[in-house]
Amino acid sequence: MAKYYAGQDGSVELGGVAVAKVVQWSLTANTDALEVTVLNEDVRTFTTGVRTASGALTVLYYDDAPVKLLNQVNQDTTADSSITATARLKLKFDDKFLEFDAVLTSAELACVVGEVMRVNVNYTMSGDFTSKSL
Amino acid sequence: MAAVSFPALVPSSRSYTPGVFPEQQFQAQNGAVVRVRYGNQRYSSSLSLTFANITDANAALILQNFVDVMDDDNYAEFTTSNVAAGASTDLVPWIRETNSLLKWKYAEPPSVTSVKPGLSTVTCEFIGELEGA
Repeated sequence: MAKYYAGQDGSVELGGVAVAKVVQWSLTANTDALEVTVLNEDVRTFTTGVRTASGALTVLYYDDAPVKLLNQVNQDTTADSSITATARLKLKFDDKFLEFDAVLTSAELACVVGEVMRVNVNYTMSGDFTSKSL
Repeated sequence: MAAVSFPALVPSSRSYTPGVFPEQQFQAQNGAVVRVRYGNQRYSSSLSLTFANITDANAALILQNFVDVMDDDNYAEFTTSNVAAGASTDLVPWIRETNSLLKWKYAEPPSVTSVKPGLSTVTCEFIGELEGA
């Protein structure tokens, strides 16, 4: 049955384990446009170049929900010996998903009066999607 | 000296200079200049070509052309459908050096920069030389 997808359908897995209290995830996929215009053409033409993807996710700081993400960003193998250079992320909405290895490039913790503390994590995909279902 | 046709590739950028005339310049202390001209043919014209994001197969054609031109006393020959493509008829004789006695030789080996799997950017530098008398 056809349906719209909404935030309530979304979730994130890190290393195969669901991340709790995720309030937002996003992914931007890009393909470089390589110019192949030659001198006897007067309209620019392009071919595809290298593909990349990056994005962000936001997690509420409830109990230890974002700790694994923070350790991954900091590459803190002392706190968590399972940390590797890249992490397997799985962005899900309903029964659809995008799964890939990523470098978690930054984490931003925000503690504001009157707001729930949250952690914004940015990532860059490493390699291609390992699997996806859209 | 034999002509070797350049591959059927149109460059994405092209830069040409017509060279110079053989002369010696003498300048007096008062600034006056006297030039002694040794010939009436220009020499050392130059042509820089860039072939951006071409297939590796086409890049290999350029490398082979470099070998074919430079491994013997040959010169590269251009046409209006490859190197001179896009130039007006007024400019084509200059780019091809058909309005002079100059012959195009490689000034240096082509430079191949790999862009992504299967694609490369190639730059070529040519120099127009007078045939030895």
